[in-house]
Amino acid sequence: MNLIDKYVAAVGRQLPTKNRADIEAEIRSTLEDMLEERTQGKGPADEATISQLLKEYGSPSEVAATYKPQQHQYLIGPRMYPIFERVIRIVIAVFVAGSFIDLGIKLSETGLAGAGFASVLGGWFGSLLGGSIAAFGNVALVFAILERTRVAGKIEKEFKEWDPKDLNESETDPDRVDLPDHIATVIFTVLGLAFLNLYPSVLSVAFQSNGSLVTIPVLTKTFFRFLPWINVLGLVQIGFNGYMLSQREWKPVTRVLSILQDIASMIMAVVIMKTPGIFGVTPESLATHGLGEAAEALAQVFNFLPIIVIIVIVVVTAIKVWKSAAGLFMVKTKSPYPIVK
Amino acid sequence: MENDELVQNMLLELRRGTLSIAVLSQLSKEEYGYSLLKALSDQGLEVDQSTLYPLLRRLESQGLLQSDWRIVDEARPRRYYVISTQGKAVLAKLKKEWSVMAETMNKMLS
Repeated sequence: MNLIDKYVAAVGRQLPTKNRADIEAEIRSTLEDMLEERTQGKGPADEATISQLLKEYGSPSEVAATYKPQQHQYLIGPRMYPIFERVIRIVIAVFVAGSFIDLGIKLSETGLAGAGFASVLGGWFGSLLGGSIAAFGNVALVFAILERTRVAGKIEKEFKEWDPKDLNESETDPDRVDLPDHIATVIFTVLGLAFLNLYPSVLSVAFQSNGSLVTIPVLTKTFFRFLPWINVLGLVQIGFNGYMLSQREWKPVTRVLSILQDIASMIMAVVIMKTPGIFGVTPESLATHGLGEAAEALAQVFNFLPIIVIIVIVVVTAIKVWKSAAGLFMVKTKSPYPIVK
Repeated sequence: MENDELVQNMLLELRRGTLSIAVLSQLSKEEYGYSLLKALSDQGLEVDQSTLYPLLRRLESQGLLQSDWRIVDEARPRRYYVISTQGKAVLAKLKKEWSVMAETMNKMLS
């Protein structure tokens, strides 16, 4: 097998079987024509001349690539790529949010120090990295398959048939700070801290028992052990939201700070909720007041309360983190001229 | 250096756009790949074989060219290409467009 045979075979291996023999024959014929011109009919070419010719002709992969149909040169084509990008952002954001939920639950079991904490953190980081890569790979795989089905063609058709009437009103600036949202956060945080610190007894369950009014505090001393932490986070939140109200515009740094703050709040909330004995309303405390089945039902509510609170907090945090992360990765370009409306 | 690269890329795009017309115009008589490459080169249009051969196939799959393997003058088998009837009609239209385009460009650049 001479060099040209080897070269043609190497190109052929990378060609679709349908046209392989034909293209191989054509490449061989061209190479021989070129060689003939170089040797000018003075007998067979030496190996150095052939080698030089093949080098000039291009590497087998390069040559084979020029014969492949354009639409199979990429894994995900330009018509599907914008959708792929959108989906990958959502999937990764949901996965990362889910990972943080998982971390919060695990840390609520180990606490925030010691060997258990380090091992949970290490394991979590590993699975976050591995899982993100796997999620990316799976989405890419799905899109690579879609690229080769009719779906891509349909999307292309939709692109071509778009109507200017379908255009939405221009979206509001994603970096603009939503004032009512921040004002509400500051007000509710101040109120929450004020109640917890100044009027803890307000948060209690009151009912009639044997003709007299009985009140049981909803939160126990166990809960109030966390109060310094709640205060710190609450004050940070008030300060941060106040700062954002003065800035009126999100920046990457503030978005990251917002994400960190949301995650810290979530972790603390999960840790508190997973701590036994934070609620004062229990079957035991109710029994001391001689309450019957109605109290049992009430106690049951407080049994389920932590898990419900955890779910709500985790979902709310996931949404907030996702929004901040989306803003962080959104490319924003400023108009070079003022827009007159 | 940076400008050279930019110019090279733009020239490549320009040539790519005109190559189909050039190839169709040269195939009123039969040519095999390498002889066509030489014919184009002789007229001042240097084309890489890695560009020309896939283009010939594409034009053939579009029905603008016809080809068959033949042995002429006891040489090795070669694939000969020639413009088809459809190719001739397309070339006539392209020629018209090209004249208009060239005239416009000349006016703009003069």
